[in-house]
Formats: sequence, structure tokens, C-alpha cells
Amino acid sequence: MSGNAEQAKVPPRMSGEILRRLVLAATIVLLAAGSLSGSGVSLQTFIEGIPSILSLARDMWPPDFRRIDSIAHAIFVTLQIAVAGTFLGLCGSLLAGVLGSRHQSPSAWLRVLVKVMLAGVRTIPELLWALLFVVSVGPGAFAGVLAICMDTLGFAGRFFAEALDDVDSDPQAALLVHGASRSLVLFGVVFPLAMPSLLHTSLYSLERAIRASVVLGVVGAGGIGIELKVAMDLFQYRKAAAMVICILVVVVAVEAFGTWARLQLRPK
Amino acid sequence: MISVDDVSVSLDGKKILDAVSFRIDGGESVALLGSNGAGKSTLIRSIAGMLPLTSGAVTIASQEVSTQYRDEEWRQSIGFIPQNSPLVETASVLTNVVHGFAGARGDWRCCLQSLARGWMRERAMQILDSVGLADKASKQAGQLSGGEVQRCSIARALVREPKLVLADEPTASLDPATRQEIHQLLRDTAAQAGSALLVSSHLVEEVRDFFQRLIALRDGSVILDRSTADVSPDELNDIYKTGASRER
Repeated sequence: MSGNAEQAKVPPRMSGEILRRLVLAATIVLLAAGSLSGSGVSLQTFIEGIPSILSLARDMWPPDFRRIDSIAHAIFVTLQIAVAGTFLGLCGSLLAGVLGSRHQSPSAWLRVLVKVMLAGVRTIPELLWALLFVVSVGPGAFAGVLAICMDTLGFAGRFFAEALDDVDSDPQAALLVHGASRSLVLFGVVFPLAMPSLLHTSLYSLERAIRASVVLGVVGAGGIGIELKVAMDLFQYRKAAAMVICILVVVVAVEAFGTWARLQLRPK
Repeated sequence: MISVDDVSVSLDGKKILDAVSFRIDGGESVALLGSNGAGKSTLIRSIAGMLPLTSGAVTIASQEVSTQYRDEEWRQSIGFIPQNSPLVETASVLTNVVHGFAGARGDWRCCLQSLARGWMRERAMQILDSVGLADKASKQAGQLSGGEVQRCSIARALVREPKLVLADEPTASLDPATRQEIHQLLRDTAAQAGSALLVSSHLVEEVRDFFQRLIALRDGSVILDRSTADVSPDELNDIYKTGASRER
């Protein structure tokens, strides 16, 4: 045993790999520290702001539910914006997913074009889309639907393309050998096998859209957001608190529905 | 009848098959043997038209693969059983078998059994009955056992009574009892349909009981092509010997 110990070399404490990891960790820490300093983050300012937060909370209590009917209507419109925008976005994503998929796209050029387009759509946040559509189609729910649609397209289009690429090639090969048309392979094999992943992405898109559609109203794209902004601007904090509680209930309900739906999708 | 004449296949500049020739008659069952890397899968895929031939020709009922690759009628004369997870697990067993009608006019209707033509559904149920899966027709394919998956693949490959059935190591992931059952089922179902059957395997002792003829490959060349009854145990063992062990 001692002979083996003499032969075996003890590895050095510092290897190239360890050094690379240390440099990477130091870079991340420096970046974070620089960002914290540059964005004016201050614990003292935060602590000094706590009394103002408590004061606002006091002004918001008790929530004013006297105009619950108008709040409910605004929330219903918000839900409609989210559902309509997600539906249109998912339809576009399905087409973009097929055209952007490595194995399903009819042409490599078209695939690259679709991928670049999706990346471009993703770089613009939904609030900016809403501003653009408020200018182009006017303020209101339609601008919100278009903004959610574009946001969903950029997000789900990419994941749909990846889900279609991940489908096992053997079942496709078995049918292609038998002379299957592309439509049969797509609708008979690729979509059914990718369906669990497509549905997961769709549910998550809907949850994102619900959260986003609340904010879109702030820039005039319809829904509860504009009501919330007006209430805050007019110092009607108790009314704003009622809206926040209603929004919270809706978002939690939609996420609970998403969790339940995902459980149903699990193979039994 | 299928005829493989002087077939060579090179992939990435490396010769995988070297002047392979043989013939298989309708209703005849043949096992393709050889160790890993001998060229079994490449040969099966080349015959199926999935890989281009470097030279030579494959002819099925007087139609040449290299020229008829895209011909609908030619494609329909082949039934193919791939090695791994060949079914659409999220679709029903009946839908998977109806997929076997791929290539027929308006085959998009075969994507779901409920859209398929009546005679296709009836024929699919007939073949499911013959492989013992009729009672599981409505079940999801993902709920089947390994042996049942292969029985369903056999049904799909044979639903159109093709002239040639190709199976690429269809029993690779199954237990010994199920392997025997699947080999027997493949042989009997293909014989009933009058189809020529070519099955690749590396399980010599198991396939010799089920197939009429053995073809063995080594380094891409045919080293044995004979009736199973005429092959001695020593010759079978020799198929899997490496170059070094043969010299000893």
C-alpha cells in the first residue's frame, strides 16, 4: 500500500479548472456589486422608507369594495385580454414552431428567418409592445390583446420549436419508410408526441399573460391596470387596495388552475 | 421476391457494406446475424430506402429501390419495424396501427383512427386480433409493456400486407420469453400475409429456432447464407469471433 502511495501523485491544490471557476465566481460577484452600487441600492434609504410604506398600508385599510361591480368588470376585461392575446399568440407560435424547427421546417433559410424574427420579438418587452399598439390602434383592450399576442409569440414560438425538435425520430422514420406524407408525420406523430410539452408551455404562457395584462392598462392598453393607476393618482388608496386584492385572487386562481391542469397531463 | 445485388454502402467515407448479395422469396423468413458494427442496421436501412446505396441495387418485385425510392407503390410494399420506441405513445393502439396505411391517397386521415376510412379501421382490428391486442385497441400505446409495444409495431408493419417486412433488432430490449414470442409472431404473421421477412439480431441461439434461413455479416460482407438446418453450431459460434480469436 505504501508502494502505491509513493507512485500515485497528489493532485495540485490549484489546477487550471479550479482557477477558471474562481475567476468566473469573482466576475459574477464584481458584476453584481457594480450593479448594486450603480442602481443606487441603499439599505439606509430602504429603512427610512419603511414608515412611508406603513403609512400607505394604513391609508389602504380597510379596502373599499363599494364599487366591486366596476372592479369585477375591469378584471373580466383583463382576463379576456389575456386569454384572447394568448390564444392568438399560441396559434402564431404553432406555425412559427413548425417553421423554426430543425426537423420540420421545409427550408433552412426559412428556419433561420423565423428564429431571428422570434428572437427580435422577444427582445421587446410587453409594456413596449403595448405602447406601440396604443399608438397604432388606439388605447383600449385591442392594443392589450396585440401586446400579449406578440409577447406570447416570442416566448412560446421558441419553446414550441424546441419541443418539436425533441420528438423521437424513430416513430417518424417508421412512417416515412411506409411513404407517409409530411402532414401525416406532423399531425399523426410529431404533434401527439410533443403535446405534453406544448400544453405545459401554453399553460405557462396563459399565467404570464394574466400577470402582464394587469400592468398593460397602466399605459392605456385596457383592463384593470388603468383603473388601478387612476385610483392611485387620485389618492383613492382604499379603492386601489380592493383592486389589488381582486387581482391577487384572480392570479392565484389562474395559477392553481395551471397546477391542476399540469397534474392532469401527467402520464397515469 | 426481394433481390439485393452487389450492394455497397459508405458513410462518412467509411465502407460499411461491401458487395452484399442475396435473394429472399415471398413468405420466406430470414435472420440477419452479426456482431455490433457488422453492418446489419445499415443493410436494413439501405433496403428500406433510408440510406443511399454507393453501388449495387435492391429490387422488390422487379422495382429497383434506387430509382423507385419516392414511388408511392414501392414504398407501400415495405413494412418496417425500427429498434427503439417505434410507437406514438400518446396515441391509442388502434391509431398506431392505422398509421401503417401511411402513403395511401389522402393519408392525413390516418393521423387518428377516428378519422380513418372504415375499411382501414376494420383491417387494423383484424391484425390487432391476430397479434393478440384487440382488447387493448383503445388503450394508450404508452401504457403497453415492452412485448406489447413490439406486437403493436408488428401489426402496424403488416397491416397493409407488404411484400417485404424489415425488422431492425425488434427484440433487443425484451426478456428471453418475450423475445421468443415476438420472433414466433413475426414469422407466423409474415407467413400468413405471404411477406418476405428479414430480421436482424445478434441472438444466434434464439433465432435459429424460428427462421428458415440465416445470413451472417462480418465487417460489411456476407460470410454465411444458408438454410438454418444446414448451419452447424461451430459455424454459428464463428460468426461472433473477432479477428484475433479467429487467428487463434
